[in-house]
Amino acid sequence: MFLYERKLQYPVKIKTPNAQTAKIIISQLGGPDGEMGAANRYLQQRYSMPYREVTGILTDVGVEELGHIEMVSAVLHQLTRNLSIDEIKRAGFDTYFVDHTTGVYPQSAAGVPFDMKYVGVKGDVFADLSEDLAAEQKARVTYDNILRLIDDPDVCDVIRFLRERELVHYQRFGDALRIAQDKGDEQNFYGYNPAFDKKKTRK
Amino acid sequence: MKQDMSESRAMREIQKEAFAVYEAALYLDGHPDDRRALRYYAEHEARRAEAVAHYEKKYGPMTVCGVRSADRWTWVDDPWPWEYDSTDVSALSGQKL
Repeated sequence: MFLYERKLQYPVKIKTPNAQTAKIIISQLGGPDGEMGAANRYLQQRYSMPYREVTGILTDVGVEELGHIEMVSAVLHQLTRNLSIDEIKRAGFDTYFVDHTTGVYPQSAAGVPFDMKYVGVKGDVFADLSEDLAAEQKARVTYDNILRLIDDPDVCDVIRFLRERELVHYQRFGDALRIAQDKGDEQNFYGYNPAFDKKKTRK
Repeated sequence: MKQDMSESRAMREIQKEAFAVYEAALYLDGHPDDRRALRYYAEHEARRAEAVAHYEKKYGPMTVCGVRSADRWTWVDDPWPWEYDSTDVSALSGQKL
């Protein structure tokens, strides 16, 4: 069961709205390496994960990603409030506005709606953890690219925090992979799937 | 830790009280001035908090903020809630809400 905590993980306080910046950052909400995919990926991988420690990591990182969906959404909301129609047109935000007004809809910067195809749940310990390691790196690159494209210090501060979390999560998934390998067959880690093939798994 | 009958009963108590709290919350969201509902909420929230404190002291954490051990991170010790084992003794208790 989930219980909502009425706080952001890290403060979001943007003084100047800017729809052009919002158009770029929206990719980290609903793009291919965005937070919505991350949260769903880890929380859905938990059920077939046979190692308690790894399930703990998937749970806790997945829950934090739910908080990041909220943080990125807060950024998008604050960047798009109090805009005039002229400002919306000038920023090229009209193509989003026509469908969603200033609602926060998960899509990529290029306008592709969020798709669960971005989320891999293979039900195989090593396939899933390798996917997670790659996903954290891809999200880190996206945040790096966002930092190359924007310059508002209020926004950059939040983006830097989120970028840092991708690195920490990458390290924790590295722990998870090591735990899984320690419990596997050192002659051939990938010769069987400990999430399905019961034999050979060490306690 | 293997689930036993009293663990299952303590969990049932939390589920019962937390459900009442949540049901009251959904209603109160739309009726924030309803004092009768507020009293119902307060009564069950107190019982929920008590049930959680009792459970965590005896069986382990309900949330990452509920670990009470100084020598082990017990968050990863107990079965995860979706790992129902039909051979478990708690399954035979047949408790109803």
